[in-house]
Amino acid sequence: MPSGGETEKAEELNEKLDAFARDLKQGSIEGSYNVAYRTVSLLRIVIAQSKCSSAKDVMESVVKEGKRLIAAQQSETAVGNMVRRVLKIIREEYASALRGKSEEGDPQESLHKMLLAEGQLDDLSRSVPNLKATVLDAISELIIELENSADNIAGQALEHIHANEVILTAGKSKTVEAFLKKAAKKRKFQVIVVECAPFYHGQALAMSLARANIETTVINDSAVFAIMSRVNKVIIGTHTVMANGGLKAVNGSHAIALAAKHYSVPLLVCAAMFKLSPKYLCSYDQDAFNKFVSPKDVMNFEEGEIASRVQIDNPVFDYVPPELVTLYVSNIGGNAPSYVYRLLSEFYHPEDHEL
Amino acid sequence: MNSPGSQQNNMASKGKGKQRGEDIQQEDVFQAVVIADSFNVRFAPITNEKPKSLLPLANTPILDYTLEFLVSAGVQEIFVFCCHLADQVRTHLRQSKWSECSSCTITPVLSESCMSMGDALREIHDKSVIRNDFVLVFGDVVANIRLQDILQEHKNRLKDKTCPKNKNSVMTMIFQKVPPGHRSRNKEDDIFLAVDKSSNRVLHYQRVRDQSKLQIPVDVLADNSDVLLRYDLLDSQISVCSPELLSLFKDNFDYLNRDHFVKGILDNEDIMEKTIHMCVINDGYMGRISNLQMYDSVSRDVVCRWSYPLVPDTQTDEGGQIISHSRHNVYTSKDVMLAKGCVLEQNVLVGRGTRIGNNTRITDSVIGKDCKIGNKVVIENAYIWDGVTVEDDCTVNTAVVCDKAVIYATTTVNPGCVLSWNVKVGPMVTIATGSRLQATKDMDDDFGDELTEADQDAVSMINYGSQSQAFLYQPPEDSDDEDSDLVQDMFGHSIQSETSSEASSLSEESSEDEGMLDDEELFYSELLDTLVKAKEDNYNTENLILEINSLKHTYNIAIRDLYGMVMKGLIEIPLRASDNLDPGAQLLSVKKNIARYKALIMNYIKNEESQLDCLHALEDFALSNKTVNSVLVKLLHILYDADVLSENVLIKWHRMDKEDEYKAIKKQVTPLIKWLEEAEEETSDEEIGSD
Repeated sequence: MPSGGETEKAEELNEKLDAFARDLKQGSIEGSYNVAYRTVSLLRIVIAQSKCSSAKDVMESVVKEGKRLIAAQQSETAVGNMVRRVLKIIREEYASALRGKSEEGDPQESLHKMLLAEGQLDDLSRSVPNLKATVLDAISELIIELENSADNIAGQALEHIHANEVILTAGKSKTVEAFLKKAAKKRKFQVIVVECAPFYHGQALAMSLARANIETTVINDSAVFAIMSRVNKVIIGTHTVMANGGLKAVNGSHAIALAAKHYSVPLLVCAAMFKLSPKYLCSYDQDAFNKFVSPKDVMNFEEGEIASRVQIDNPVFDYVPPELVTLYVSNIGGNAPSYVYRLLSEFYHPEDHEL
Repeated sequence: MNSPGSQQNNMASKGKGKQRGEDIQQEDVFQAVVIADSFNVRFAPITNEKPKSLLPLANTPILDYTLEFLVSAGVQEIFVFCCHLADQVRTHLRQSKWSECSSCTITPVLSESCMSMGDALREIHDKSVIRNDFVLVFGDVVANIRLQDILQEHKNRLKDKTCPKNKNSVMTMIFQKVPPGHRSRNKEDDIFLAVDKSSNRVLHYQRVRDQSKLQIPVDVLADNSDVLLRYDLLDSQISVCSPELLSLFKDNFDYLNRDHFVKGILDNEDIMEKTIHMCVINDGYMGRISNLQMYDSVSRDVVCRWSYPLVPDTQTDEGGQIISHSRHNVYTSKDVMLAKGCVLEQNVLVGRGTRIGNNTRITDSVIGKDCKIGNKVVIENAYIWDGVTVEDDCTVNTAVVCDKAVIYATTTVNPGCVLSWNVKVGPMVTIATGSRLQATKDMDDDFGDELTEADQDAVSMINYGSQSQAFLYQPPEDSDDEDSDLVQDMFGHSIQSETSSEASSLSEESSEDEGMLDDEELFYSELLDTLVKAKEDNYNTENLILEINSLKHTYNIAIRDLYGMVMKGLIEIPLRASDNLDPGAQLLSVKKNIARYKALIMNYIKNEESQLDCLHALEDFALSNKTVNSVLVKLLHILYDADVLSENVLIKWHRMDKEDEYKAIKKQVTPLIKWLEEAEEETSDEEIGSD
C-alpha cells in the first residue's frame, strides 16, 4: 500500500510539473513573482518526495526537474534563479550539517572560510541525517522571503518618493504599483505612465493608480523624451537583473533610460532578489535573452496581404546597460548596479551558474 | 402550512440536484477527436509512404502541432483516428513525448478500412467513448486559439432554456476572419455562409468552388430578420460538437464529411430540429494544411511566429535540441554548420546537423535535419526535409523536397515541384514547373499504350538528368476521392500569384494554351481519320470539305490553324502509309496525294496569308518529324510546282525573322529560295530584256 501511495504522489507531482511547464510555455503566468513562487513550491515537493539522503542525489533531482522547467521557457529567468537558490541552500545546509555550527560564529574570516570551504565541499555524496528536514526548513524560509519581497520593497517607498515629485514609470510592474501606492498613502505626487505599445500594459497600471487617487497621466512611447525634462525620478520594474547589473525590462525601457540619462534624471529599478540572474547578455536576439511573440499585437492576421510582404517583429524585452541605472531597490535594500556581482556570489554558488 | 414545507423539500432536492450536477461537471472530461487522415490525395505522391499528419511542418510533425494545441487548450482525453498508414501514426504517438503526457491521455484508434470522415466518426460512435461535448479537428491543424472559451459558449447555448434553437445546437464551427486576397485563402476552402446575427446560428453554408453566382435559399432570408452574409472567413474545420453528432452520423450513413453533415442538418432543420452555430475568433491563429498551398502558407505563419507559442524555438523534439531564434526570423539549431559567405536572409529554419556551403543564399525556406547544401546554391521558398543533399550551383525555388532526396550539381528546380522520398535528379538539368516526382514507377499503371519500362527509364534520364532516379507522378484520374470535383490548387501556380501577379497571369495563359493544344490535337487526329476514310471511301472533294468544316466547328479551331493542319495531314498520311519505303518513294506518294487533293487544298489556301500560315505549319511539322525535316526542301518544291505556294510567299517566309530553332530549317531551304530568286530575277530580266 505505501508504495502505491508513493507512486500516486510521484504521479501527482509529475502532473503538476507538466502543468507548470505548459503554463510557462504558454506564457499564461502573470508576473515573475508567481513564476518564482510556483517554482520554489514545486521544488520543495520534489525534495520532500526524494528518498535519498545525500546532498548529491537531492541536487541531481532538483537539477533534472529544474532543467525541464527552464527548457519550457528560456526567457523566464526566475525559474533558473530559483533552482539555483535551492541548490545553494542544499549546499549550505549540507556543509553546515557536516561541520556543525561553525560558520555563524566569526564573520570576519568569512572570505577565508569560503575559500577553505570550497575544498571541503567537493564531496557531496556523504550521507547526512536530517538533511532533508533542514533543507525543507530553509526552503520554507525562502518562500517567506518571496512572499514578503514586494512589501519589503514598498516599505522603502518613502525614502525615494518625496512630496510633489513627478515620477515616470513604464508598463505594468506589480512591484512598482505597490511601491507607488504605498508612497501615495503618505505623500502627494504625480505619476506619468508610458503606455508601452503594443501590449498597452501601461494603461492598465494607470487605471489602477488613478483608482488609488494618484494623479496619473498616460503618455505614448514616443513622448518619453519630450516629457522627461519635467520628471524628477524614473521608477521602473524589470523582468530580470543581469549579472553585470544591466536590465532585461519591458520593451521601450532603454529609450526611457537614455532619455533619463540625457536629463540627468535618476533611474530607480524596483526588483526583488529573485529576479537576479547569473547570466550575461551576449547578443540582443539570443534566445535566452529576448522573447519574440506573435505579430498579432502589431498587426491583425486579417491584414495578411500586407503582413506577408513585410517582416513584423514583436520583441517583448529591452536590454538596459548598467551605466544607465542609478539604483536598485530590492527587498534587501538599495544597491548600486556595480554591487550586483557581490549579490550574485551571495545568492548563488558559482558551480550552479551553468546547470 | 403544507406548502412551505414542500417548498423546502423542493429546495432541498433542487440543491441536491445541483450538487450532483456540479459533481458530474467536475468529472466532465474535455475530449477531442483528431482525424489524422484527410481522405484525399492532395499530397500524393508524398503521402504514399507517410501519412499526411506526420509530414514535417517547420521540422516538427504536423500532428504534434495539433496535439500541442489541444493539450494546451486543456483537453484531457484525445482520440487520434488513423486510417491510411495507421501503424506509423501509432508508433509516432508511442515513441514521442505524447506517450508520457500527464495531463492528457492520447488514444490511437486504428481502422484501415475507413474511406471518409463519416466512416471514422461512425467507428468512434461504435466504440462509445465520447461522453461529453468534444472538439473535432483534423490531424493537420495548427492553432493557438482559446478552445475553453468556445466550449463554454457551446455549453451555455445548450443550457439555454429560452431558445430551443440554441438548445438543439449540435455543433459550433470555428472560423477565422481572413478576407479575400489573403494568402491563407485558397480555392478549396473558400466558403460562403449566412448566419443569424444575434444568435450566431448558421443558416446557410456553401463552398464557393469558383462559382461566380451564389444562391441563397429564400426561406433563409424570409424566416430570419437579421441575416449576416459572410465571405471573409477561413474554414479550418475545427468544431466543438455535442455527442449527438456521432449518432447523427451513424443514422445518416450517406454523410461522408462535415460538409455533408452541415448541409444535411441545415436542409432538414425543421424535421431533425438540430441547429449549427458558428463562432469567429478574434484573438489567435488557426490554419489547416489542406493542400500544398496551405502547407506553404501555414509554414510561413509558423516561421513568422503567428502561431506563437507553437513556434520552432519553443518546440523541443526527442533529441532535446534547442533552436535559437535570431533577427529576420532566422532559426538555427546549435550544431548547424554554416560556411563562410553563406547568407540566411529571412524566415529561414535550419535543422540540426545540417551543413551549408560557401556563398549559398537561402530565404523563406525550411531546411530539415542532417541536410547537406553545397556551395553557391540558391534556395527560395522551398521546404527541404531531412537528410537531403543539394549539390553545388543548384537553384531550388518554391518546392517541397522530401527525405533523402538528392539534387545533383547545377540543377534548377522550377516553382511548384514536389520531389518525393528518395528522388534523385540531375546533374545539369532543369526540372519543369509543377512536376511531381517519385522514386519508383507507378506499378498499377498497366495501360497498354503506356510507355514500356525501358522507355520510362529513358524518358526520366532525359528529363531529370543522367544520375536521376525520378518518375513523374500521375494523379489517378478516376479517383473515388470525395471531393475530386474540387479545383485542385496547383502548388506552384498559387505561389507564383503570390510572388508576382504577372507570373500568375502568364502561367494561367500557358495553361489555357495547353487546353487549346489538346483541342487542336484532338481535332488533328479526327482530321487524319477523316482524310484516311475519304481516301478509302473515295469521297468527292466537296463532301470532304464539308466534313472538315464541321469538324472545325466542333473543336473550335481557328481558320488559320486549319490551313496548316490540312496541309500537314495531307503530307502525313502518305508518309505514314509508306513508312518503310525509301525517301524517294515516300516523296512520290506525297506528290500523288497532293495532286489528288489539289481542289481541297485550293479551297483553303487561296491567298498569300493562308500560304504563309501553311508554311509555318510545315515548319513546325518539320521540327517535330525527322522524315519531314529531311525532305522539306523537296516538299516545298512539290507544293511550288503544284502552284499551292507562290514564289513570293516562299521568299517572304524565308526572310521573316524567326527564333533560333527555325533557323536551321531556313538554312536548309536556302538553295530552293536562291533558285527561286534567281528564277525571278531571270524572268524579270527577261521581261526587262523583252522590253
